[in-house]
Amino acid sequence: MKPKAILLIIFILIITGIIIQSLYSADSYSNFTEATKTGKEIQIIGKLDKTKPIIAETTGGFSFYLIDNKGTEKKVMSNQTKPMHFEKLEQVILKGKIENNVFIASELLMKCPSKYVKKQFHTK
Amino acid sequence: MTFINEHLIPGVTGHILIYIALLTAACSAIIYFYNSYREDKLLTIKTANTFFNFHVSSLIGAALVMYYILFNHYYEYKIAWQYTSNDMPARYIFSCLWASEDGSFITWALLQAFVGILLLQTISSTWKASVMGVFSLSQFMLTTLIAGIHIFGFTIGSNPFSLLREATENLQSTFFQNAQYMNFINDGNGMNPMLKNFWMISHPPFLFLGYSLTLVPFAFAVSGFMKKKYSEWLQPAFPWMIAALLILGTGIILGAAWAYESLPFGGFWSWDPIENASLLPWLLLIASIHIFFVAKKTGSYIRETYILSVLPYLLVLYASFLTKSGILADTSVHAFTDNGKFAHLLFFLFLFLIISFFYLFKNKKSTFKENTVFRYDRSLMLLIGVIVILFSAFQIFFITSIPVINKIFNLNLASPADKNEYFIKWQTPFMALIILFISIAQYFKYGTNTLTNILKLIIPFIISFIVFAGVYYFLPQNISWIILTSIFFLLFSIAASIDHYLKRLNKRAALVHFGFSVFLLGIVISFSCKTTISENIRLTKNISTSMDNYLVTYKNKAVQDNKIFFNINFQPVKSTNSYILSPFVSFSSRFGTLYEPAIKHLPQKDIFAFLTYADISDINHEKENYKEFEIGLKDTIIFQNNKIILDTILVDKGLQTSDNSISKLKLTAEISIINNNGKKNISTIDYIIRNDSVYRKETEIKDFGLKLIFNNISQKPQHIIIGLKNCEQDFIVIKATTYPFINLIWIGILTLIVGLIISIMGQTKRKNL
Repeated sequence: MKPKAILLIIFILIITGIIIQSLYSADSYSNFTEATKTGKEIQIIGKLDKTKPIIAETTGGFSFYLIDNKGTEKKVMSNQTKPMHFEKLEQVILKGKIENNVFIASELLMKCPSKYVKKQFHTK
Repeated sequence: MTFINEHLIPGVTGHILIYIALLTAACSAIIYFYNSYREDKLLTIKTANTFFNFHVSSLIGAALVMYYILFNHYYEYKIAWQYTSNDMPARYIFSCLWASEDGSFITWALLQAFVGILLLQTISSTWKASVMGVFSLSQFMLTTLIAGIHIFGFTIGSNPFSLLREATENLQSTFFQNAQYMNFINDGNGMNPMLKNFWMISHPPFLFLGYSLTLVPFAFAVSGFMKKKYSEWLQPAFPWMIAALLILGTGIILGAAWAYESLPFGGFWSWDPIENASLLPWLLLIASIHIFFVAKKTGSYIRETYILSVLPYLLVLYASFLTKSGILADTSVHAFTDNGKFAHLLFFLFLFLIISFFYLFKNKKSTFKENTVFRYDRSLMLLIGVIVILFSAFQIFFITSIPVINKIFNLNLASPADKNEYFIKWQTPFMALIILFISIAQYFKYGTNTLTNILKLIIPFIISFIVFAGVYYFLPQNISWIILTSIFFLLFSIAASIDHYLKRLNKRAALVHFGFSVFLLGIVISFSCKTTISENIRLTKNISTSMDNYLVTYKNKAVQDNKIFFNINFQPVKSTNSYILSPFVSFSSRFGTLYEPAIKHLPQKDIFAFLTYADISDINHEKENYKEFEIGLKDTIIFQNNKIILDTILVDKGLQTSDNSISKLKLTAEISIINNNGKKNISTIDYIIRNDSVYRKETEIKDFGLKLIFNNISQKPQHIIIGLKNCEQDFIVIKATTYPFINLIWIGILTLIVGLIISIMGQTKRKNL
């Protein structure tokens, strides 16, 4: 075998390794029921409940209510600053875990401000 | 229905200019391609050049028309209404062009056209027809994205000059049924305050210019294989690769710097799919630049060089597909939602993918000379470096493509839960290995090497080992061995680059490698040594709290226009110098409240602070106990059993203030307060207009439990409007972090930029000789 062929095989092996490793590390989106059951940190996509208030907490951060893809609603606490436009979001992606029946979000995935395209027209 | 007060001529002109641009790009592409096979007597390259120049001129024209609309605030156009407002300064109106999705395609097409003009001026006649052919094809494809042609029930591209009343979301609106509707639109939506800064004006054009420059190596590689001049295309493409690396890198860094300066999270890279997508072409450019040296010196690895030279542009197209097709709408913070360009962008990507692979497979393997001798020489070291770049890029590519994989295979995968940690764990050693192999390569010659050559490595090795031992002493205990090894590799690369620079072997490469290693070292050190001073600590006004090595005090808040600055004093325990950090909250009726962090840049570190809770009622004027009064000279008003009397108003014009700026107007009101028990206090409140900004500061009268503010001037003569409220215990909650040695990042970037500029100059000089 030529040395180049051997190198090619090693190269392909490592690339396969990276794929397997990446798939192994890849997560999947979960829901509140799952999070309560396992108590582990999960990623979740949910809808913001706009009928309930978004409160700036005096301990720092803010809280809101989120409905997951199974329709379960939970209070979510984040210790980050409330991002601009948050109340206008439809969908929120969160990472965190359940503690005392409250979802403690360690990370919020927010849209970059350049990509908010406000559809609604207003004159003032 | 005819609408009144609409300005339709510029929009029609702009759209016609885009049609002309589309047509001329198509003509020039066809004529260039035809001439690259056989020179035509009638339609010569010169004709194609003329068409190309017409194409560029019409694009410039379209952009000028767009600016005409934006600067005149013609709100009947969607782009003007959505991104400008009456009070917007000119510099932000410039950036409106690239704020919108369609506008960003104009920007890209225009910048790529400028690159084309520069290429046309410098390119030799051998390459002109084929390279410009590929170039014009890409210009054509970019222009189709802004064409807005309705044909056979399909819409090709979207017209950036579309009217507000024609937008899908407004078609049903009764507001636009009124012929006089323009009389009711007095102001535009305006730009998000987060985008109004230097970084956001400069980041997109640099990024698009960088994207455009990657088309040049693509076009040269394809031309080389088209004309069967397998290695001749390398040299003319090379300076463009470095230019692309420089400009694209600058664009990425400007975006990252913006994130660090204005997002309240601390950090400039979040491994978001779209951020990664812009990094991939940059990594591939590093790979193609280094394999270029191997190919040029040895004459082999031509096909590998071809692949690595076309990949950056293909990845650029992939990046714009990810950003603008809507496929990442849920998973990336930077993605646009699908505006009907999914298939269009995918077609663009596949067209260029097929072109590049067609010429790769058309040329049989046997036509290439391959170097079969296996030596431990510079080319081997460079190749290993390139292979590590490919591993690194592949890993980023794969994770970034998860939403695409989900779409194809109908899966529900998410990127790794701790994306930052995951990528840092993998990419730090990858990057350190890349720069290590490239630095080691400098000590090897092409061909046979003697042991003495290689032994010269010992000096930088020993030096870096000693430095590493010193650095290790200061590093935190919990640092992983992967990061430690990476730090050592980076120190070695720095030492090796300095060694090379001093020996005057290859100063340009030494500068670039030094800059890149210092940049990476800065990232690794500042982020692995960052210390959290406070994690959601409550600071009551004027009460000092000890945090880490600082005594932190919330001093006061100051109102300037629609911003509230919270002045926080950081007093290091071991030093007498203290720093005031003023994170602020800005408020706009359209965009809501915006919290911005404050950063103190010190030579040895940055202190980063941001608010997680603050009372912003001052600006909303919504708090119940806050009241405004219009008060005339010598008038008395009653506020919670206190008599408030306006004694005098002092007017001061053109005052020289302490910071040497001239204030245009300063009004000082002297106010007496008398309470139930007859206790009296005299205070002053200021209202300052300086550089068109209004400054007001609350005055607290502790004994009376009151706060006073000079809110505004009244229409009535000798009247002013004052705000009054009860003193409450004022407090804020902050998070603060220090990033040690973060300036290494900037030193690294600057050296890298200087090194790359010198390299480009050196390359163009060589070509002229």
